[in-house]
Amino acid sequence: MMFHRHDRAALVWSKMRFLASETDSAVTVEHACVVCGEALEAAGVGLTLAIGTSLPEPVLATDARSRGLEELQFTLGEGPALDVSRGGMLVAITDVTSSEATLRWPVFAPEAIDGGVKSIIAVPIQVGAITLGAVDCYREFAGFPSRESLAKAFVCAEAVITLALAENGGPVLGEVIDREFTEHRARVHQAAGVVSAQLEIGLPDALARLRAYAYANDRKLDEVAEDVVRRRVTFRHEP
Amino acid sequence: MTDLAADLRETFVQLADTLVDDFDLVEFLDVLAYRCVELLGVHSAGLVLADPRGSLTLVAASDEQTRLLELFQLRNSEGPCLDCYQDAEPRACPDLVRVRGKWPKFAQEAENAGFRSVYALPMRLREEVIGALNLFGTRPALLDDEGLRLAQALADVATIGIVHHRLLRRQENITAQLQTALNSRVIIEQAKGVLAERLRVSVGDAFGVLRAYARSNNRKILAVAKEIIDRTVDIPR
Repeated sequence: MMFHRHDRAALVWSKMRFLASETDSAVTVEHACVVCGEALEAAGVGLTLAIGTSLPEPVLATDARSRGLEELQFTLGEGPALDVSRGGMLVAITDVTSSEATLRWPVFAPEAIDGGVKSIIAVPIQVGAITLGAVDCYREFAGFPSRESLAKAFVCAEAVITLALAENGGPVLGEVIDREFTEHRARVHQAAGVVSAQLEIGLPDALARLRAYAYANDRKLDEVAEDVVRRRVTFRHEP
Repeated sequence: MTDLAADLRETFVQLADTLVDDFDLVEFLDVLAYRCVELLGVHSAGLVLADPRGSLTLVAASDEQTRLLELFQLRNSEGPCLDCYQDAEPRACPDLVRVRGKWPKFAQEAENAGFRSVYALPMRLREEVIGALNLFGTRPALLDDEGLRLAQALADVATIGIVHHRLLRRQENITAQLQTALNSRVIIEQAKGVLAERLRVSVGDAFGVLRAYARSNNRKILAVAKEIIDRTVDIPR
């Protein structure tokens, strides 16, 4: 079915409004993500945004598996959201078990496969020439989405920007972040601060040390962060 | 290549070069006004732009007389320049005598200033009209069809340049706003961790100290957080 541009946008927005009406709330960034996932027949969706530092930040997810995969990308420094943020283009891995996927994401791909994901479509969120982040859509079947599905997904990605900005110009994203910036993410950045003070190194290096530790010990980053903040794990200068 | 062709080429390039950090709108339009006089053989040029609410203001004029005449149009809400902007269509008045009935005040004032022809061209890109370019001559029928086409082309290039520049600025603002919102939260959490380690307290207590310090020094939490991370501030227990 060929959609005229305006009809497509109207349809996507009406779906978002419908979702919002179900909880009697205003349309938010989360609704845009959910509708994006529906358009691409995804089982779950994650949103990651660039914040001007080297690693984009996982912001929200529709379910535990998606959240885990978004945070894993951050820990590993590899994955679809990172590729989108760097390249500014849609990333579509139609078969996560393929050698293409493993070459691209040697550690992330197996984890995604373990989680039951078969294909991943990461939709860029763009403001002009600037890529602000990605909507990662995790699908439980292999294959490439239709042109119309992708077109709808792009409308959703644009909507993320529109919804993140309130009408008076102040960012409503701040509220989304306050709501979604979970204890996990807060802990990770707090732990980076602790490590930074312990080792007397800058924050980016401290974060890298944390991530490396999690990877080397095969542990989840937010669990390591919890240990660091509770002083169960400390980082010290080598003597 | 003739001098005129070379000047034209140079002018078009100048008008297109708006996506630079130090772009200055007033200077840009001054250049356009000056170039119009130089290239089209008109006596003078004026430029009006609309503000976000649609009110026109004079932004550039190639001489004082023209500046006053443009202001006169705006103040009296009468003249080819205003009609041109409202309808987004050119208003060519090769002979001011003939339009005395249409814009009586303006025609009188213009004739007093020594002008005999006026051409108002819309600055327009598709559905968006951002202002008008006004050209004045001291004799009737100063611009022929070719001159008018060229003038419109200059106005069009300038319009595209301005619209693109505005769009770029808006995109940069949006991006900065959104990234700041998220980055601020990250910085505050990081500062909590740094302070917790330095003071040997829990993260929750560290935030309490940070907040108290900010309050008693009448500073924003985010600013203090940044300084904690950069080690430019030492907060005692």
